[in-house]
Amino acid sequence: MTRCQRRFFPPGLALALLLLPGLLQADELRLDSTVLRLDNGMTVLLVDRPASATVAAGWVVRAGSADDPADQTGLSHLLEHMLYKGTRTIGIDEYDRIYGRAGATSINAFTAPDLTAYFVSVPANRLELWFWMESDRLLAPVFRGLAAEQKVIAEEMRRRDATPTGPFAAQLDALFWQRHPYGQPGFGWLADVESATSEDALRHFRTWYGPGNLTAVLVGHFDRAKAAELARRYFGRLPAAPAPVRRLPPAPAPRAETRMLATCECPSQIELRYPTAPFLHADADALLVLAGVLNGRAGRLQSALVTAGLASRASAEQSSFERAGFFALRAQVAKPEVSPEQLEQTWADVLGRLQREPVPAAELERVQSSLVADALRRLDDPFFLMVQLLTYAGRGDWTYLQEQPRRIRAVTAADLQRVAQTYFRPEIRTVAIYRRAAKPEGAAKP
Amino acid sequence: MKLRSVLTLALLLAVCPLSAQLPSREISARPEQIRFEPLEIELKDPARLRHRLSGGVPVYVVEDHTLPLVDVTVLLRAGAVLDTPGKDGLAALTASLVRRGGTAPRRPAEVDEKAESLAVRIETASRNEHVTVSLNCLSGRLDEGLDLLFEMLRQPAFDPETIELEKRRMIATMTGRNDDGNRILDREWTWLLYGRDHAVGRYTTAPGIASITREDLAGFHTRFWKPANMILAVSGDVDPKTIMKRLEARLAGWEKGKAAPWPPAPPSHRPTPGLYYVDRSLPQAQVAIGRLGLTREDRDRHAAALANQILGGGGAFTTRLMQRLRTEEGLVYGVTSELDVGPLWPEPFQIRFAADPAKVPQAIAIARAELRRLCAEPPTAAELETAQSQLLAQIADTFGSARKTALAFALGETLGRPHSDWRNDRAGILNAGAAGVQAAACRALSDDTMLVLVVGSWEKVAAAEGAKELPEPAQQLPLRDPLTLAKP
Repeated sequence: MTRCQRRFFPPGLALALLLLPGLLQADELRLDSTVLRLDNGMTVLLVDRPASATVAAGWVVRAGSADDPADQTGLSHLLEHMLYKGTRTIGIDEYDRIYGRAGATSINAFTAPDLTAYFVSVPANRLELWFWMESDRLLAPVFRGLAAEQKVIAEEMRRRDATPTGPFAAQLDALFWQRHPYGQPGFGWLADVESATSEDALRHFRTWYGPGNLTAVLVGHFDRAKAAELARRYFGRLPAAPAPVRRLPPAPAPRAETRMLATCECPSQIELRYPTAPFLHADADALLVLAGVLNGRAGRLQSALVTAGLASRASAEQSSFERAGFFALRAQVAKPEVSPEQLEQTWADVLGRLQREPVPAAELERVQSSLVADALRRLDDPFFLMVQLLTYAGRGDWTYLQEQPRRIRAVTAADLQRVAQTYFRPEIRTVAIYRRAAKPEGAAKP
Repeated sequence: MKLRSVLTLALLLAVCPLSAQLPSREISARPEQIRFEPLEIELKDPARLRHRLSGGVPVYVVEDHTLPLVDVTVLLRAGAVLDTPGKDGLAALTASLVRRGGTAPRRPAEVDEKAESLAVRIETASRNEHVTVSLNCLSGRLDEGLDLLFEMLRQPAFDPETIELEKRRMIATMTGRNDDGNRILDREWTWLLYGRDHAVGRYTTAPGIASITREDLAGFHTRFWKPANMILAVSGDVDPKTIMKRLEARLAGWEKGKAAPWPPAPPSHRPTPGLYYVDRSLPQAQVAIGRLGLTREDRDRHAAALANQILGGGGAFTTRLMQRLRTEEGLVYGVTSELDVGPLWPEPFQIRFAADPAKVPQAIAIARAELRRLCAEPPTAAELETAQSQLLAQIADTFGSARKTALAFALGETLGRPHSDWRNDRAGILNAGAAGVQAAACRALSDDTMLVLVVGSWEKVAAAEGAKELPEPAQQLPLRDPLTLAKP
């Protein structure tokens, strides 16, 4: 039997936000949503926005590039491409045409280490078309035109390599993650992609794409009861399958610093990565707030690196994956006379202060207010909201979106000092230094 | 009277008959068999959203109480077209310094700390025709947010240290101009289409930026950052009466000023069709094929927009270029064609893609063959219907939220685009037939009027299969010094 679980549903409001006006103290943020769990195990999340003329609709599978077999890297990404090649009913070039004629836009998908997401924006009166199309391709996909798609992926890789630091991305990931599957390149290694077969893609699909491993998200203009009925009717026809078990090893525990020295056609720059905490870990919240202390025009990196004339830009970020995470500091020199090592030394000074002294209460309050307001801003656009919900559902818990303000508020100055001391140790970090090449290659005179 | 319009999706009624029945409980064998309810969408009436402050400043207000947030955007006719000769970047640097350079009562760092403590976002952006300053704040902090916004607008301090910092930042950004093939292509393409004399083609240089003084910035601000050049867009959790009262208070006593010269003169450069290239070793060559497009006065603009949409509009997978170059041949990851209608001068018509240099001649040949096919034969009914749906969806998206609606109307008025254009566009898109689309393609997108620009390893391109079919002669453009844009 299908269960319909309702969460906080005040009539007449698309969203309920229990924020004390202007003060941002009670950071209870509730999406007015309905969560369905279908008999076959699939989860469907409905968030209505009556003012919209469209529905942002998508689904996510909790499997991504980290789930690619070690000798078949890029398989999740290849499968993402192949799922647009039709079904037993729909021809190879029909998927986009059918959506296009219906006025659908933003037809797209992405592959990440933990998840693969597929989405589109459909006119509000065409919601049933989305259910038809998506349940059809989950039910009976046919992988046609593999050879052309392998060439497309080779071009996608070439596109990455045509960016100034793109050619080094896979090497940096491999250095940082060591043998962990999070270090596998999302596109895969070219030789693996070129040798993959339609049977490999189909096997990967059958392993991971069962309804117990899928969450669909709708944000937009629709009647919830009708949408729930459509979900049961269309997605309900997928044969039940439990969520498979992900076999990811623990995060790597490096014992020595690793350095990558690259020569690039780009302004000299530096990236420092520290292994930290995974998604939903309380320390990931503290690291998010710590990044807030460092970032922005009022942040510590601005004064120490940018205003001081050393860096043209500098930023910090906590990246949280389902089973592991890292904190990255990135900065680019303001002028050729500054070396990446000077940026590194200044970062060490900024970091030392974070480790020695608690962040003052006024500064922490300012950062937390700003981060909570940003969390609210991210709910504004229905399409972006849908993509965020897919991402968090793919990492294991979409409710993180509404929990985030409370989590941010729960972080104390002592937490910040503790995580700075715990995670930011030189002996476990990976440092990438990019130095500008003396002269661009191929700069021929006319 | 409130204007109600059966917009966009309901207009699909005209191109594919819909039933008023509710969805059936059966699952159709094919998706085309699903019957859909018609959808009515209200098109906001700009006249009802437009208010005026006592000094005459227009303000578009669109309410949306879904979230406790308010957006206030100030649009000013103070863009790069007003740059002083030799000081290109003056308008952009002024806008940047209004945000970053402190205010009379506050040092730059104090402004940023104040903004963060209020959890407000204030950002500036500059374009050729105008600049914008936008505030986003919690509705409970609107008064304090407006106070800070208007403190920046009315009393910028142009802090000397921050001016130097900003100038260094702009110059640091310039150093990367030749690092990315796309940036080289953008620059050379703009020059090929518009020349270097008009604001559209005037790029900043390190000497030009260095020559800008604090007096230049303050003078530009005093002259052009005035209510006479200003239009506002407000949206979100606020009602018109409240916001107008609050804005009235913030603008009180601000000298109206003199309106900037308007409209700016259009570029006079005439592009020369042919093949051009910049020799630069890159894993992927960047390619543009195109010409100057149309202005809003052009009668063929809707039919031409449909032709472009069928060709490669928005990089949609339904388009001919995506089908041929990606799905069938696997030569590119993406390909787009654009035909934006310029309110003041023609925007470019352009096909853009990146490809392996050894595949570039083949990809260019396919793209040009598709251009010729647009003129040689009318589109199919299905192609036309799809293109109409996509363009109508774009219009609907322009008004897809309160913020977008307020900005679309305010920007339209800033650039001198009549609001009636939106309705005319819808009608024009729906009324264009296949023969009209074909005729417009022959006139506006003719292959023999195109310029082709390649940025990539020319040795590999010239040695590739199909290179002999490229237009001749191929004219080399220099890879310029990133700071001065002078020839090497």
